Amino acid sequence: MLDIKNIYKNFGDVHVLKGVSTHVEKGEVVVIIGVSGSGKSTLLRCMNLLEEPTFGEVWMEGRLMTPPDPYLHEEVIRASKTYGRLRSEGLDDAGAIKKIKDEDLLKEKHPRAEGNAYKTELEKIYRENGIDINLGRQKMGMVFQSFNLFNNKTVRENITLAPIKIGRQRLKEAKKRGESVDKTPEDIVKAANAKAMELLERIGLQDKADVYPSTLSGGQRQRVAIIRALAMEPDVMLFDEPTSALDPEMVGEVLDLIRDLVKSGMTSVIVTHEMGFAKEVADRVIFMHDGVIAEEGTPDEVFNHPKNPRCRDFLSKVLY
Amino acid sequence: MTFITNVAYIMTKYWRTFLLQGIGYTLLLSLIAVSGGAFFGSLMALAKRSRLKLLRAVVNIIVEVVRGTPVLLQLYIGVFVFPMIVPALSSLPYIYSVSIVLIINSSAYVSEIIRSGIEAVDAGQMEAARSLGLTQRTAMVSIVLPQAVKNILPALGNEFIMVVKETSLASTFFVGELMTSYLKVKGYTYLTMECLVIVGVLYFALTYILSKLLKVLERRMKAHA
Amino acid sequence: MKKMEKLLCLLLSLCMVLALAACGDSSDAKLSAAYDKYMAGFTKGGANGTLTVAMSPDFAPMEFYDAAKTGDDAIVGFDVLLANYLAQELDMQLVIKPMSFDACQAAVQTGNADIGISGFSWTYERGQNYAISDFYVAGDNETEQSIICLKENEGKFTKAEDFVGYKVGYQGASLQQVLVEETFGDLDVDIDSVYVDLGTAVEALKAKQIDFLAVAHGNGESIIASANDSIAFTGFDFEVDDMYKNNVCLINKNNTELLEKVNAALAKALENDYYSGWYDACKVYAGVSTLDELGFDDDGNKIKE
Repeated sequence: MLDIKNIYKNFGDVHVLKGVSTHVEKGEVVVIIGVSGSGKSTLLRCMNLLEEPTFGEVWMEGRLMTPPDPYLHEEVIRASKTYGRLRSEGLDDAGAIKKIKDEDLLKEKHPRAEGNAYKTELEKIYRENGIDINLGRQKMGMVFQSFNLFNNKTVRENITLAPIKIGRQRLKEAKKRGESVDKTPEDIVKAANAKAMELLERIGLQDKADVYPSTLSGGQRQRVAIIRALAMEPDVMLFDEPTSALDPEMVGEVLDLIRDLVKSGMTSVIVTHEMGFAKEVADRVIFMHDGVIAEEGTPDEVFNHPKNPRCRDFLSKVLY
Repeated sequence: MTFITNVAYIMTKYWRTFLLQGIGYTLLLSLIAVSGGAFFGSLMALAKRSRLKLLRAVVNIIVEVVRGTPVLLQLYIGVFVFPMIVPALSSLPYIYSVSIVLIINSSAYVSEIIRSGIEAVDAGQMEAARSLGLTQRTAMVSIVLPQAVKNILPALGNEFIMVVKETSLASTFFVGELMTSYLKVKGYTYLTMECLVIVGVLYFALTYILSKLLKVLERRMKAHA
Repeated sequence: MKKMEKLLCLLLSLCMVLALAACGDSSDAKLSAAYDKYMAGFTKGGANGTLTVAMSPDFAPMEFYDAAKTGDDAIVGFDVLLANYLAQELDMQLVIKPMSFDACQAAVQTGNADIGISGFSWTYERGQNYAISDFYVAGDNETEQSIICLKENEGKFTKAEDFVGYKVGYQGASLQQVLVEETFGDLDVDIDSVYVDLGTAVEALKAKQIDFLAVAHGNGESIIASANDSIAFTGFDFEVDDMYKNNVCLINKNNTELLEKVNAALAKALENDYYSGWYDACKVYAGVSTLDELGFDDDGNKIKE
């Protein structure tokens, strides 16, 4: 469902992610753990492109969300001028590709320098696989550490804003294409409001529909943030330390909601420091260290039989 | 006592010059400067967020130059240099050139007010909107700008009050605002102090009433959210 | 806070009351009668394009505002008469652009105005940067240069040595500055008090920050007239070199054609003795003298010399 291919992320001279690849199956719950600064939040934010990866590709349900990364496509490398030069210097095909990948030789920032054939190949990949970034994001719900509810909207508006705006936009586009549409914009608003009330009822906050987020407690805000993401009916949910900013007595209600969600089969990627929770809900645990995946496996493998010394060290500190 | 009788004498004889012309032109110039400034300042704030490097650079240079030079100097340049560039200006009264300068000046400050107002909105608001699949434009219009306006309006009000006082420099070209009234009357009566006190009271009354009005506006905005 | 508001209300209503009281607004028709006659006598709307004049109208009686008049007519004074005369002689349409004294020079320099007429005196530096017209004579405004003081010192100071130990103020970059420096530079007189405009200098004199103020005689008369006689002439007059006695027009250095025409017109005015009549009319207008004193009848006709 969600494919992460060889992601690198640099902030200036700081290399936060140094080649991360992973794959999230439909219905799978992946928990990412690791010390602060290990790149786990950055990885999550790269998944829906809130951070644009410096290199690498993100694929959502078989569609490419990032620009194509030439290093991941050998036919692109073969079309480049650099490859041609290396071949003429006597290297064989495999040798030239290896040298280019290892030494980062493509002038990927200046596609013109690598010739037209190279550009055509890249564009072809994007044309065949690329998807509008906003479409991709609509399939992913994101929950933030600091909730990020819209301060200028009521709870209900927070939940309905995106469904209404995007629903209307789709309607307009469908009409433009000449398709017959059976919905009116009013229907969209009505449906979004009904959905919002249904979700609010699910978390027991239906009486808070018309208040502003500033009047809610932290736990309530985070639960509203979660159902705001759900209102878009995403295929995968990304949780970025959803309980880190909460007072201890409110952690439970938020974890309960997330637990409900994953139990109902929602594909999820969760970055968290709640090790007990991770152990309980995860199908797979990823331990990040220094920008790479240092250990990966079932909760039992990672928590009870860690092979990586860093991972052992980390777990011994957080699990007492 | 002669002072007060002098003030009374000046007011009876020249009340039109002060109250009608002076206040009228001061308010007119301030309104032109601030509304023009709000419009072009918004455009400049947009340009500052543009992807075009050249556009950003040009706007930044304008803002830095305007903020780094005295208004009086800008007025001199506007009145004497603009007509060389735009010949149509040379046949118009100076108030046109002066208005253009005040609009440019105000735009620069307003664009900074808007920029910092937008930047003061938590980046998480934009991220949350984008993560839901909303476009940059929709996120900006529906989420960030409405919150930024709350930061921007009070600062814009202060800018308006600053502009009311800054228009006094336009008296160098006798455009008719309050300070021009002062120059006209003291040039004839040589009662400098008396005229200064009169325009001082009038400027204070103007800015005081304006700031009161702005407070009411702010309170309403707060009550609304 | 409440008190402040009350105070404000009081002040504003005071303004209103004064304004209402003045609704009848005396138009001073009598004062301007002679001036208006001269103005009406000029041929206006010449066919040779426009003559743009830069002028700083805060300097009665040379150029000032008449609050009772509106639009372009509101700027009045000797230099306005001269400008109208020049426009008539050059067969040009007159446009007066009011601006501060400093700005007048910048306007001429940048070509924004064709000519600066604002009571300019000749100085060496101006001669370097502008084309300077021949002299014109604004009555005794510049020919007599005097020193004014508070009423109690009237007539007590008559020679340069009398001022030793006192403070004499003057307007910067003016003829008075030159005269004060020439006259008192070698004596023990405090001449460090420079003012940007005459009005401020008068306030300094009233506040006793300076003991004396050097002024052109005509300006002195205006000042004394509006100070309800709390100010007077000391009785000392500067010895004024001929080249300082009169005023000049500033013209852009490159515009020699205009310079020649202006000089020709000025020569004609001098020959026909227009200046003294104009100056007298403006003195009456500025409230310095009465019509009767200067030999006008009530309708502004000159009846005796």
